[in-house]
Amino acid sequence: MNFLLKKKTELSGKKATIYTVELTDGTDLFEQFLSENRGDYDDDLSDILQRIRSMATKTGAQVHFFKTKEGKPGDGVCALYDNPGKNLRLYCIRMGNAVVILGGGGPKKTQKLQQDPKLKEENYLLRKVSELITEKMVSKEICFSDDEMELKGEIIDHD
Amino acid sequence: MTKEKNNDILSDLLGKITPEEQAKTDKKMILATKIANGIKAKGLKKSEFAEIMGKVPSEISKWLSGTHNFTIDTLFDIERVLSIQLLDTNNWDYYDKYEKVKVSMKSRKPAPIYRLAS
Repeated sequence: MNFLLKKKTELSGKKATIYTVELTDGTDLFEQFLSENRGDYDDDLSDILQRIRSMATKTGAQVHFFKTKEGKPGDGVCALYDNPGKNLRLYCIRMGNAVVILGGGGPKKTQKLQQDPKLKEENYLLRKVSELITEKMVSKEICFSDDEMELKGEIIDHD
Repeated sequence: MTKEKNNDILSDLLGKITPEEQAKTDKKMILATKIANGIKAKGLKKSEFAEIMGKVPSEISKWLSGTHNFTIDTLFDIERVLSIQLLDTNNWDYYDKYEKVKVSMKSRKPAPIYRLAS
């Protein structure tokens, strides 16, 4: 599995840098999430984008904004909290307060992740991405910038 | 859907967010962070704070998520328990003071008008 981490300039700010995952076939997981839920969940999408921008520009990606432990222990896979009464779930990889990698997600229709094939697929895909990022960090193919605000490496696209 | 169209969706959704909506979300996220910092500063675990507040820990998680709409009563309770200020109730008499200034300005004699002698 190969992928690029693309910096989203329009979502990033002085407190956090936001990346999305682009697979080799050109699929951007976050942009796919937006297009799949456009129309039915416009308000939720708007709310998610507002919260991402608040984190990027005001507060940093504080851990309490996320539902943690959505992946394997310690892999950073988490989900943004659903708005009260809403159930649109977005999976992310949180790397401290300053870096967030956005994945995909979808409407949460069942109590358990295992019962929802779509969410399970998105969740496991991001777990795999996280695993590969960890490997690349160990092998120093990816590292943090000196100010720890960004990621550096061959698979990072800062366009 | 093409990559270009997906990019358009992000731009379109971002373009529809008004500055007022963003400012409201910013404030909710900052408020949640102030509460989280207050819990930490008091040396409390989330579960301990929940117990003091008479809530279950999952309710506190919602409070800290930045999505919760707090009642004023709840905010006052949090302020008291954590000894922090979330709502600014200082300068509440600003309007009274402003009115007094206005009245005193009105009651002042108008400044004399000096004219140059022709």
